Amino acid sequence: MIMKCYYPIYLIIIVSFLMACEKDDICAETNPTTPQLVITFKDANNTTENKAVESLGVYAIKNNELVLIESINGINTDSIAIPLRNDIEISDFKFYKNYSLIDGVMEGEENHIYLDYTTVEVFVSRACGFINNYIDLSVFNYDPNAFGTPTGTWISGYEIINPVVENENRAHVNIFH
Amino acid sequence: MLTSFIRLLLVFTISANVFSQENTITSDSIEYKQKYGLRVGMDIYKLVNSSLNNNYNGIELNADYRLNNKLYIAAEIGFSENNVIEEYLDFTSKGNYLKAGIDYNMYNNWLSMQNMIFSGIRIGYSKFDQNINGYTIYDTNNQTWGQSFINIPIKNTNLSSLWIELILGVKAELFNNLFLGFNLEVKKMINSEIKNNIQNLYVPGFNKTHEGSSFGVGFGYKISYLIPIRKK
Repeated sequence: MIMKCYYPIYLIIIVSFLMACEKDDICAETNPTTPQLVITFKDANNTTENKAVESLGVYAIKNNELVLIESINGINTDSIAIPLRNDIEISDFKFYKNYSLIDGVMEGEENHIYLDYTTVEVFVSRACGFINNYIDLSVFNYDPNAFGTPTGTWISGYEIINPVVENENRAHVNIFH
Repeated sequence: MLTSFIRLLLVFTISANVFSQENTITSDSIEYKQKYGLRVGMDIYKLVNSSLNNNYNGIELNADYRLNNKLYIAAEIGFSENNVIEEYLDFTSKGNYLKAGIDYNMYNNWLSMQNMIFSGIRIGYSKFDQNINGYTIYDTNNQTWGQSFINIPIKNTNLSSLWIELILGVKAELFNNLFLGFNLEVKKMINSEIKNNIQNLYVPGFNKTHEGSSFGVGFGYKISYLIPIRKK
């Protein structure tokens, strides 16, 4: 009699143990992550044509320190994806054309790019927490918060084709050169 | 988890000792009466956990009233405040809950004993706040800018949840009218109101919620006292 009554209790104990260590405690790599900004380089003379940049190197400028984006270190490419800064709503980059870094000596034509946006946090899950999306994206070649004067050498213009950064499926910004 | 398992074994051992007296009995002609009354008590695990665990504060009071030989109407009322710190997320869930339903005693007592191996069903309702205290933006491309921790709270107040719950448990009379019991709970969420698209991660009374599943689990470790009203 007693054993018979305990039987469903054992069942519930097993279920409880299984649920105590289940999958949603770990943020799996298949989860969506914060999207990067996708930039396409276009020909300044023929704005519908993609035009690759020779030896492109991109640095992020964080608190006056240059941080090279590892994957964009002197490659020939007509499109890139770069991460945006999450702690403040502006990201400061230096884009180098004909970039090279030999024995600590950096060479190339530099062009400042400032991206201004509003961050929007999006809940993903218990394990992953929140990712950021970005809205109201705008591009400057000077620091919009520092009354800077426009700088620039090799980039002739910009075009925002998608001011909302929710995914990396298509380009958000065209850069003409 | 291990400690709670040991506690569970402890209760089963105690209960088994009490129940095992069964086989020493032969029937006689004296008619023993069963006590009927209101049994009130509290969850001692939640009490101990509140004093030992800085991130948890909770109390649960319970009561049941015997309707007939097998059936009891039963209810629990509780409060909990639970701070959970995950890798990317720090949140606090705080609120009250009420559970009401019936317990059915599956155990045939002999003489005037009143032990229970019971199954029960409850409807549970909780009114609570869930505040996100801070979070680290999940960004797998953060090698360039570094991780950023946001400590601007997101407050979701006046949330509510409704669930149904199945219970299996034991209650053993330790001393005259004093009962010690253990029970396991399997819960199924019926309706959980969310705000700002943020999942309700922990619901007072329901406990931890699970992604992609409306089920939850819980347990109780209860001490209660029977206030006898009548015998029959």
